[in-house]
Amino acid sequence: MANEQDKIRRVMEDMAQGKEIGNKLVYDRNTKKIRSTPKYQDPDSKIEITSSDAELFG
Amino acid sequence: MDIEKTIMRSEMPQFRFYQNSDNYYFKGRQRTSTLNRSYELKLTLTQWYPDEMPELYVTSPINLRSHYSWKTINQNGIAYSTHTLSNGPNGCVQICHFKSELWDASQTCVGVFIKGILWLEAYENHLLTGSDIADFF
Repeated sequence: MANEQDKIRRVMEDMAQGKEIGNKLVYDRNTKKIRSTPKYQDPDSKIEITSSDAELFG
Repeated sequence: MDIEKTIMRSEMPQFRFYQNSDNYYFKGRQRTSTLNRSYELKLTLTQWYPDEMPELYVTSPINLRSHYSWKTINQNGIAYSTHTLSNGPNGCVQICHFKSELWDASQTCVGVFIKGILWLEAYENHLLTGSDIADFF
């Protein structure tokens, strides 16, 4: 079973490839950290991270 | 600016607002999910904010080692592979969070910190795997 570290890496890789399947990433206001969550979970108390948040330049 | 401070206090209270004469910035520590390490991020704002893009730095630790032990991320300076710009004060890493010509006043400091936190997670995945930071964006 994948741990949280692996889940976060997988979602980031999926987002980088333009895929939006499986889990998504949220910023959890309680823990003040990024974590993965099932795609259709209610995002209350979290900031949902969208593909535009994962666009960096440089 | 007052709106930004209010949003930050509610969404990301770990980042606090500071003002020294004409310098304005948010600064605070962020702990990662990947390796559970703590970093200090600093977002400096000019007097023309929000019309001018703020600059985002990793101010602690100053030197970020690379997956490749003989290098640091700081040595890359402006680089696509690490999504970094020219180093900041004391040589710290500057994260390239947005293209300055695409920046507009609708962006928020919380949105920039979200990108910075994602960058930290990508950096730690680079440490673990050796993949470029850009591979995660």
